[in-house]
Amino acid sequence: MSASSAPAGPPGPSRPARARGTQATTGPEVVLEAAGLRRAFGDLTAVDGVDVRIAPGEAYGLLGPNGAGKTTTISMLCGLLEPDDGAVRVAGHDLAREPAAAKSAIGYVPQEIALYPDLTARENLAFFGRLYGLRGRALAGRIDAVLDIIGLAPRADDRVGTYSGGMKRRVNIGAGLLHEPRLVVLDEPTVGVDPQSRHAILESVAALSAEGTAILYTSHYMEEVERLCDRVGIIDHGRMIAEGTRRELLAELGEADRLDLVVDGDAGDVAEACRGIAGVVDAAAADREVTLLVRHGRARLAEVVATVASAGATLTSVELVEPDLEAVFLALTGRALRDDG
Amino acid sequence: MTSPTPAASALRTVPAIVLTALRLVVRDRLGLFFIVVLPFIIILLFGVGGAGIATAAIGLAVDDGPEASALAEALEADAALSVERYAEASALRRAVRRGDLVGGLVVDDLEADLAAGRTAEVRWLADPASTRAVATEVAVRAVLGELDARLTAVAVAVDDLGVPRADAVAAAAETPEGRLLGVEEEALGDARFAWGVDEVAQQNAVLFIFITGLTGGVALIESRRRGTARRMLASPSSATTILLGEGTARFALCALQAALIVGGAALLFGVAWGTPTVVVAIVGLFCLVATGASMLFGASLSNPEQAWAIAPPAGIALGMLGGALWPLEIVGPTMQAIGRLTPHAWAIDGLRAARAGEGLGDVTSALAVLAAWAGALLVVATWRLRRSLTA
Repeated sequence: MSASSAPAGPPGPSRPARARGTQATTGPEVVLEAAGLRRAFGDLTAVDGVDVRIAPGEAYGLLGPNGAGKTTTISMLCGLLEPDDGAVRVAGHDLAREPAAAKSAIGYVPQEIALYPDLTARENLAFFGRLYGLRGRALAGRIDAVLDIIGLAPRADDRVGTYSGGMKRRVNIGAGLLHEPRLVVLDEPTVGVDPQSRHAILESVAALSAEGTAILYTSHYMEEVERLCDRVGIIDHGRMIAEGTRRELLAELGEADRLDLVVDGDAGDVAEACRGIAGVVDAAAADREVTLLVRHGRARLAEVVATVASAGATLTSVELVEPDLEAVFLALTGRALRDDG
Repeated sequence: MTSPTPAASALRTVPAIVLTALRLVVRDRLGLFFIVVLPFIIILLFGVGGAGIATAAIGLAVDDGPEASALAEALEADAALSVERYAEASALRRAVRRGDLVGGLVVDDLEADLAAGRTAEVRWLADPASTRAVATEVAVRAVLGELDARLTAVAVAVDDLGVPRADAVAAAAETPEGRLLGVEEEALGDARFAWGVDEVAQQNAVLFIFITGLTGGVALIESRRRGTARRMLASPSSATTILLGEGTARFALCALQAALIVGGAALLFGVAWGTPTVVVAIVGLFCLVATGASMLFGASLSNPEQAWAIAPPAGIALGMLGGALWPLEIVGPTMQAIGRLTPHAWAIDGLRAARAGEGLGDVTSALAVLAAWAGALLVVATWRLRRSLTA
């Protein structure tokens, strides 16, 4: 995938200044504006009062563990699910009242490889392009441009079923870029891909953002969000519990460090025991791993090691990590990001 | 990008979905075999094999006499049958058991019974497990029916009108196809019924249109599971437009299957389908029935493996019940009544009527039942599919 290649489009000034069909009705400062989104499934409230605003060229990361409400939120933002309450405006169009206009401004890249494996990449792109009103030479031109962006022009006429996982992911993203959307929504776009493809995907998303496209990005991989996103929203139990730039979110931690432990023994018991150590802000366990949020972590290291032993476990490894979004997430939710519970 | 009107959106989305569905079918070699090749193999095996090119050898054990000769001649006149006379019923029975013959007819006291005005008993000997024997029995029954009609006509002429027997027999023999018009229709009831390539082609059209519909539902399940359906819903096209596209795609597949069987059977085997308007109306409505079943199937099941395990057996089972594998006339009254609950039976009725030269006005019952089936299935399927995509 070529990170530096810009999507080809009609002649004119480069983005974001380029005139677009939806731009006339939208303010320059916001592409996506969602307010008070709420959705319940029976007795379960999956999303409860979520607000999101994304400006042109801004990359917004939506973080949350499984079941936190990310997919439900994205489904409502993309018009796939009707909210019980709240409103969504995309490029100035109300999603409920002008769904076609609003959806035309969104490029949705689902978590699944939502492609036809028996069709070639070019045929897949042509199909999804037609759904957005592209046809004839304009469609062919956009397909060629997108194939260049995702770096698959040489294999464009091979069936997608013959591609590697990373290549399929790239076509999956390409199908969301055909109509030059003002907002690209990427739901876990790097799941199951090799490091090289992941790097290429991230470069490509960064390039889109640099060209003025608003990005909504969800991932389990904290480092991807830290690398790509200008602002991050943390969602848990259907509520947006924190939002801001990386710097703003890290400031909430104060002086806390993160300690990653690997133990032989019951990780849950170890986490529970460590909560009693002075300065431990939070502790979470998953499999054999224990993540601690500790004020002045280096100074508490000896006490942590002793506590692990007293909990009947053996410490296999310990790592002191500089404050990052993972630590913020742990402090806010009491859970590690990839903890399924 | 400007937002399109709903009509413009439908005009670009529906053909795109239909073309993609057809392209996917063409890419699927196994699917192509089921749609293009298998129906003709079955028509060839059961239709032509049962009635046309390869005749079925049967035996006839009956005492000599003019009526026995007439019976033998009538059977030999049927292109589907070759007849071998046996002096002893036991010898005929052995030949059938050995498989030398598809079946055999034993008639005791034919001449005496007919002369006395009694019903002559005809026994059909055959292996009940042989589908060829079942097909042959139908052909034999058709011949016997013709003969019975002639005999009935002679009896009416002699007994009720006082015509000398010899004159009545001669007149019946000279009547085209050996039948006395007016008397034959009343006596036979289902005189137009005959087993052969035409019948098998009709049954196969109904059977395979429905199976193609059900297996077409697998694509819907895959679309839901892969996420392509959600991706389509994220486009400016409305859910209604996408459902219309998916429905049209399934209908196009069923119509393609129907066109292949109707056209192919006419060209390859000379099948006469009959009144074109009736054929188009019946086949079109049955394609809608299969489309509704396809969408309901696609909306209800959760994975393609489950669907592949269920679709062909379900299609064949309904075909059996509805007379698409063998004529409903050869099953008992209870099974016939059950068969009438399936749309298959009504579609076959309509196609038979078309072949008999009847017009649209003669098949209103079949059209109404098929329309009701199609409407009910499409309404339920659309509701379920919309719910499965947007809930």
